[in-house]
Amino acid sequence: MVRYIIKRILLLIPILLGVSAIIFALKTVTPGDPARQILGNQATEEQVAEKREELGLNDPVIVQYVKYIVGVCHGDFGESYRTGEPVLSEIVPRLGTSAKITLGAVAIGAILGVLLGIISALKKYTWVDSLVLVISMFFQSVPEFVVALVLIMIFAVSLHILPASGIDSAKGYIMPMLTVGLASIASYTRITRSSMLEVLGEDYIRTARAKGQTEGNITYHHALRNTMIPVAQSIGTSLGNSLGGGMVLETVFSVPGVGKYIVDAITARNYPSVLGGALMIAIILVVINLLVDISFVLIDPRLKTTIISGGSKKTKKAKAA
Amino acid sequence: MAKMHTPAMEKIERKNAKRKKPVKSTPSYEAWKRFKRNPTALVGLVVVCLLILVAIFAPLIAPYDYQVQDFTAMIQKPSSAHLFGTDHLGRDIFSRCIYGARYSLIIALFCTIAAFFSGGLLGIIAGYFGGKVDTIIMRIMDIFQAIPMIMMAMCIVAVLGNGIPQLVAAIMFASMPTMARNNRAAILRVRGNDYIESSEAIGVGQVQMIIKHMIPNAVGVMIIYFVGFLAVSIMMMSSMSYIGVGLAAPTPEWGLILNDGKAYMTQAPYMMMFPALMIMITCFAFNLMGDGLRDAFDPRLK
Repeated sequence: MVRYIIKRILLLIPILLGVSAIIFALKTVTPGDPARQILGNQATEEQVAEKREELGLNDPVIVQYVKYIVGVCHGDFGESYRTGEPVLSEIVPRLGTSAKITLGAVAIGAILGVLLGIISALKKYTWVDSLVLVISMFFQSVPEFVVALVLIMIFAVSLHILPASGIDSAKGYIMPMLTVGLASIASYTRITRSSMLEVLGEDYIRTARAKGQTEGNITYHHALRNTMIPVAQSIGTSLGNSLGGGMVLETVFSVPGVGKYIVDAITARNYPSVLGGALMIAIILVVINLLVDISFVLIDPRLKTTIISGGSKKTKKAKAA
Repeated sequence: MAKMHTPAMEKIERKNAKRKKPVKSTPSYEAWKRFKRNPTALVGLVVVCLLILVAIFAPLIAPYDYQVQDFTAMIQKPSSAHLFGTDHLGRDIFSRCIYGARYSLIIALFCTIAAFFSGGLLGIIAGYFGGKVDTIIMRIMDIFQAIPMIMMAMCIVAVLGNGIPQLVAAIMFASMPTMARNNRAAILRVRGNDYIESSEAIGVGQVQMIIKHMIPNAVGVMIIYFVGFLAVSIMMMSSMSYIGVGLAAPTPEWGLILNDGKAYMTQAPYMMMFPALMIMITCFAFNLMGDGLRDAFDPRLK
């Protein structure tokens, strides 16, 4: 197990290097001179040249990249062109805001999704089942920003219950959380439904029925626990999805999170901020994925063989063939 | 023992003879039969067909030009002259929404085709050759996948600028890892079959093998991804245009129309209502259809 974890952590290094290289490449091919952009049109050529030297833009791209990576390893993500502040100190407080929304959204999505999934599994192949699936699919297929706009039109413009944007009060969090949460319901409903149906077909459920357990007892004490294994695993995926999809949502609700920070930086061509924000999100995503994979094994020890040893055996076999 | 011929038996025989009509049974026909039984999928299909018709006949349906500005009729409520009302420049929102179908569907189609020819092809190559080629391609895709799709697309648009070809390129790049993964899996499922081995044994060339023997058998799964990705690209396109990183202003794309209406949300909510409705209907219909296709082509995936 420990060896597996170490191997996975080592595998993160090339991925993160690759991610930073891709974004760094995008930055270097962008037309326009960052130095000119910082100083504005009034600056003289000498001032611009001086600034270029100061920013290290005259170095070869490889040197710039290596310098950046060395900086990142020391916790230095560069300085924002716009404010001159270190990118890291701008991102960290925003991460907290994004994390709050993400966690709230996952909670809403998971609770509603699991409930609906149980209902549709118990009422399988009836109209209730189809209705639940169609509704949850609706929220999954419609873009989040459209759902967000509809919620704003209902709760902020017509009813005046919730603020249309910003998170000055706790109320401001409700709509962003709800929007992301609704979008993730469908995957939970589906997973819960299929997993529940599978578990309900197992022998130990039949035994429980034969012993004369009530149907409610069977559902909640015997079936639900095993149903939760794949559900718990999908929470990790949806954490990552909502964090990555935060850019559009945070812009719609003007929530000062990492997503909005990156969008603002993209439109202002503020590349150190884009690079820092994107790298930060990539780091969080790969770490979440790693934790999810490890938690797979902790929740369901049966997977130990398939993930750790079985997986590698299979690849060996494939290589031999 | 001699065969008995009672009237009742003759009746049964006649019935059987009637039934023995040759039944067409190809995998795609079976899939269509399953698809037909799925009411939600059929609704999706009908709506998608209607949208395609609207897109084709947009100039005939739309009463006004989508970009003509009429300053005598700005921000008007929906009426018989302007079904969906007019926007802040006096443009007819109904006409813009109708043309929006044309733009959204065509751009989505281009994005999907581009994605299949880049990521999809990489996946097919990785799946077919396996070994080192597979490892190298998929490790690179792992790196791309660590960047969220929409963030990748927005960064590329930031580099290339707003516009239709730029947007297509951005969505193509961003979707590469997912496309590669899906198509690789589709090819791998075919690869294990015995007939592939026998084709190899009689010396079928590699290109011919992929095009003639593998893709036709993986086509069901690929259709599912194709329709699914149409929906994804419409979603991404409208989301990106809405926050101003995607298409440029006069294009009647639904996300852009929504963006125009944003400032007038309180005084003229219909400016956002109708384009939002169009996006919802389109995305939902494509997803319903895609879901039905998945169940029809591959009942095991359900």
